[in-house]
Amino acid sequence: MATDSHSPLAQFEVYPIAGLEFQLMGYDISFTNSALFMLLAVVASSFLMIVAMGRGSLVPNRWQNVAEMTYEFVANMLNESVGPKGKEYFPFIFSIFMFILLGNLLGMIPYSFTFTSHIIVTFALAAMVFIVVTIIGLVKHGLHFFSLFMPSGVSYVLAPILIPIEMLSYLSRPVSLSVRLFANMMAGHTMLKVFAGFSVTLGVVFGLAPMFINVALIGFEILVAVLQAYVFTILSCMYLKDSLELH
Amino acid sequence: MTDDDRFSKLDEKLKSVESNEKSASRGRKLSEKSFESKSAMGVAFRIGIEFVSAVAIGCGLGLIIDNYFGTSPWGMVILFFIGCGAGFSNVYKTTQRMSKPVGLKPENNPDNVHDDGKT
Repeated sequence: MATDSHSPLAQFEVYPIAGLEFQLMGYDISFTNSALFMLLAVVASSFLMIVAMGRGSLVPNRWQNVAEMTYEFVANMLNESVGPKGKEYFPFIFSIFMFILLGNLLGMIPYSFTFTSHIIVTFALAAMVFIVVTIIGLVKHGLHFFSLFMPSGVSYVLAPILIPIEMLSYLSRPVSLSVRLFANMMAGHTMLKVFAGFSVTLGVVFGLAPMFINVALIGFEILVAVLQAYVFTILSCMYLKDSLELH
Repeated sequence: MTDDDRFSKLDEKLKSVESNEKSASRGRKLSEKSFESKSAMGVAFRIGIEFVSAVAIGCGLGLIIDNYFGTSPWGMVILFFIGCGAGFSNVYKTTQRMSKPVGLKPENNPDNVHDDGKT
């Protein structure tokens, strides 16, 4: 992708940070701007949780309130979609939620990098969810786990058609999960840059209109950032429920 | 006499406050719902991805099978149709799921054990 610095796609360019270029056995393992923002997301979410809950007072201050609200939000989500059995997977789900949320929101800061706008990042996350959920199902139910591919109450005549369909539907989960997050983030950020470009080329007077649209779009993008983190997490919960309960 | 007056005034005040709170909470509930699924673009986008990803996985798997066993093009043809079926099943499941959004706290639900993080 040829991206000069004026292209709306230039913001998605991954480059190694100067002085941190490494090679390992022929592979490029440089510390890139993408890795930097992933690290920032992890540090920021850990910082939020540790510092805000450091001296957990009965009457919470603002930071503690933020931490408690996110905790309760995810705990409620897990409790309602999976039930009490899902409680032991709370750390997993909560980490995913915080990582994606912080990644999306850090990307909203001007001049920053949105690592969730790269499909390889979101696909790695989705594949991790997929593999973990499958392993949980296999450990909990053994070979009985594969009855997930045969909906209950269906006659055996339909089994040769239904089982491949259900298997493909199961395999398509990580793809739809990752594409949804990646496409939303990338489309939104590209749109912001395109409207900003209109604003520059149209001059001072007419350029005001795209600027106001951009102001509205930024608010919308923040909504999308939170919503997509929520959607990713809720779907992970759904998949977890499927492999815990098998229907 | 004056006491009665005061009490009736207090009653009126209480009623107005209560009705205000009720309408406020109703407004909040509506906005929470729209947060999840009322954006038509979002719904269309989600359903589209559900369908397309199943078809894409079907075609990809078919291509791999064809390359491996040399059965071109039959693996891809058959898996394309199975992928379409899986896509429809995905879309059906998604729309079923949308009709009852999860994660938002329903009121007056005794099954919903409130977790305060202390147990």
